Amino acid sequence: MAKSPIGNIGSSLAKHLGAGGRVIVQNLNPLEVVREYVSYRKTVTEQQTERERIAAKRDVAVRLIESEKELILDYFARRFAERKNALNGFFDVLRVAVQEKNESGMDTALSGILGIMKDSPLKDFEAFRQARADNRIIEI
Amino acid sequence: MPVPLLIWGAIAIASAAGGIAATVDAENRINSARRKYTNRRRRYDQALQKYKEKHQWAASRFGDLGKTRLEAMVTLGKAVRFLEKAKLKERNLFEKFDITPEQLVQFKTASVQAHEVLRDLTSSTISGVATAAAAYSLVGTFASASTGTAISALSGAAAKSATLAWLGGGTIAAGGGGVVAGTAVLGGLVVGPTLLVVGFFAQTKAGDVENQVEKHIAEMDIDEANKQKLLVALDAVLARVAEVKKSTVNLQNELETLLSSSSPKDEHDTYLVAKTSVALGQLLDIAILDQNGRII
Repeated sequence: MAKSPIGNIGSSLAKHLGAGGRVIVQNLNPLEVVREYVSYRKTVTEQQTERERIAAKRDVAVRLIESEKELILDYFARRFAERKNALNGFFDVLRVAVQEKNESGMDTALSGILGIMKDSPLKDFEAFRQARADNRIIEI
Repeated sequence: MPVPLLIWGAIAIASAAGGIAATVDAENRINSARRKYTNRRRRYDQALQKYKEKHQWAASRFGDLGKTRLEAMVTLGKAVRFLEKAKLKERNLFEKFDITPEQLVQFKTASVQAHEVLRDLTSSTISGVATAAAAYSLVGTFASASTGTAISALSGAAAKSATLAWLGGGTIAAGGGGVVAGTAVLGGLVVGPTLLVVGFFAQTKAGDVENQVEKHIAEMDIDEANKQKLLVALDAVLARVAEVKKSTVNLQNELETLLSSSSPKDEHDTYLVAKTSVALGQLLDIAILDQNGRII
């Protein structure tokens, strides 16, 4: 058998009442109703303020993380593009030097390749970030 | 006498109506907050899944680099045999070609080991997976170290059910039961104000639930943003992996070309093979992350 709407309201009220509510209901008088109302309005305002605080704190944190993400993205995109060009150039030189068995060409290419590869862009990032935070200009 | 009673009755009815409306509204607010949380949680779980998949893919890239390096070591072994055939004096090796006899032994040993590992890798898929996983465990450490304050409360099935249990309305369920409802409904003249007070409580509890939902959603927003940032950092690590791999393959190919067109009897050829071998050895020595998963 379906529950009546009145029955639903009754059980809904019961759920919301809680222990404190029961005490008030048992000793109800008009003054207490007014007092409860004042307290209720205060709580509602506090809750609203708290929600706004949570949202504002979240927005600040997310913006900070996103700006760091953009920084990482931009820095590495530039660094790896530069390195790729330079490496391609050195490997072109190496290819020709190997075909021609050109000693000095190979030396130039190999030292260029190793120079780039030993310099990790991942390691440099921290220095870059710090320099940026200090408003210093550095070569990348 | 009847007039004040009428006024009192009107107040009671208005209070009851206001209380019931407030309670129903509170119930709706709680349900709406639950839906909001559930929807955000679903999107957060999807984001987590993508994050895990990206890590798995990254693990396979590390495994791939490992295999490339092993193959390059095999080529290095060929170069060592070439140099041995050239019968160079140890002094010449060191002075002219910048290779110590110890380095030659290292290259040779590495080559033999690389042969063995590659043989195992091709004969067993499981080994390959294990190697990739072992290599990638470093990245896992890196990622978790950089996550900062992890949202532990929102990870894992147990935590999820705990959160859902919390969201399921622990505070609401503490209400009482039919007896209180009976008291409220059948309380005679106090029924109106009682319902109004119940409405206040219901609204307060709805506000509590909304605040908790807001807090958990904010945590998910921040954690997801952090993970997006980590994925960008992971992309940078993977770009480095790709760079090392490509350079290794290119240099290995050049060494192979050189070996195929050189004679151990020719000192000039030997010099070029030695130079290229040393360069390839140095390239193979470059690490991307240290043993603790920190970027090098």
